[in-house]
Amino acid sequence: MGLKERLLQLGEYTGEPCITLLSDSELCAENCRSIKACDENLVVLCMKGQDVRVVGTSLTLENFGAYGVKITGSIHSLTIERHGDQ
Amino acid sequence: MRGLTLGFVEFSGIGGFQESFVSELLDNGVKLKNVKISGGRITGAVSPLSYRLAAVTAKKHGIKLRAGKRGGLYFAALRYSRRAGLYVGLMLFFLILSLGKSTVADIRITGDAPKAQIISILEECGITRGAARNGLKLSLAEQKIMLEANNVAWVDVSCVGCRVLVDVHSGTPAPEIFDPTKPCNIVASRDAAVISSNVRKGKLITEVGSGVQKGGLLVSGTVSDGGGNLLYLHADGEIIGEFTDTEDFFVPYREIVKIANGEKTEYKYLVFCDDIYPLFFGEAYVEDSLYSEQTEKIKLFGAETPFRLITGTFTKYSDVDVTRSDDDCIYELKRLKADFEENFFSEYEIVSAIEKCLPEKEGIRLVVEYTLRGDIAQKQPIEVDLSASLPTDDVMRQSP
Repeated sequence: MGLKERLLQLGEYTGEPCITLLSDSELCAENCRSIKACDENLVVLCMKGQDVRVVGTSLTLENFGAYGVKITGSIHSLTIERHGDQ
Repeated sequence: MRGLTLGFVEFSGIGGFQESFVSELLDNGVKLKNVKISGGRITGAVSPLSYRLAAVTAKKHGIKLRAGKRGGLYFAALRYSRRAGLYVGLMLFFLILSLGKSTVADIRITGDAPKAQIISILEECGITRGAARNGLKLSLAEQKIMLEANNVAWVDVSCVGCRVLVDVHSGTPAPEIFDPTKPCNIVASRDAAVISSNVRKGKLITEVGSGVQKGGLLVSGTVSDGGGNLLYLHADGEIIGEFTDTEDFFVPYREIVKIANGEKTEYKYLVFCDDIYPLFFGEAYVEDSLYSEQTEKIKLFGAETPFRLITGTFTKYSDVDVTRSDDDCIYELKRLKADFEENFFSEYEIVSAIEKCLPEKEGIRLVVEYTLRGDIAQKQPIEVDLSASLPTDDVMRQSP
């Protein structure tokens, strides 16, 4: 049984995306499924039903909790692209 | 590095599918720090326990991963793991700890009992410094102390850690009781008017309805047998007298009262079985404060553990300037009067209480004139001079 299944059993993982912009240099994204693209100027996170594009400079990535990703650096813009089929 | 408590391994990798590598690590719950991808190069840090998984995942995604700087508790422990002296020291530490806990290191006696006597009783029961904790006869020691020590009302002998605690409390000294075989009179304990009497032994001197002064004879223990001889008896009975008493109560309009509502200082203790471990440094004491204590059980996932947490709270007293209205003063006076009656007149019957409220500049004074009824009998021994009854020739014979 994987981590996701175990968390689902415990009720700790809902799968619903949650994005929190703490400041212009810190963003927290919960329930992130995967990372589509990542470099120091662009991070694309794949979440349920949407992609989150974070554009900035000196972007670094770290994870917290289960499926939680924190992006730090100078964030210039945040774009949410909804998937057409959901 | 913050977030990686055990330690960290910095890594860098080139080539491959770096995003999918990070996604898979994320999916496996591997904690990553400072991941940066630029110019086809990925850098970051992982926990030393997760590095192997990260390396395997990197290989899977075609990344050439290299470990860089490493540090933290894991590597410090690894550095010392081959030092045999550390293991020996650790074993010795636990050995000394277990030896120390298995014998009595200290005996502490609290309370108001003679310590020398208590120590000798404990020694008789085998409770001495250095004695094994397992074989301590604590119940036997308690019983012996109760039987042999003078005037002991309550005793508790317990073993806490390597210390034997003996808490001994003396009983209240018994009131002085006249030997029922010794002759005595009954005199008045205070100025009163005699209301009723019940004399079991002796001769009633004061009639019902008459007044008597403090120390005045009420029942005489010296009676005649009708044949010209005097008998000395132990006079016994109850003499109910009525008497007055005036009490004065005063409550000021303004007063500085000490109330425990100041700064709170908490001291926590961890309790495991009989052992108490303070979770702080120094002494748990705050001057001029009120102490209260709360004990709670420590639960883990809803199940009770053998650990308890004691929270001792010292609340500092602060001076509060209290201003009272007339009604507040009257209410406070009534409360003072009720407390006084409960404390001092509980054994008397209050026939009447005439209250006079006297307002003053600083506050209100309440003067209460009580008329009380109660037993005024007080026993007083009769000093019999036996030499006076000796025949004259005997007295002559004794004199030089």
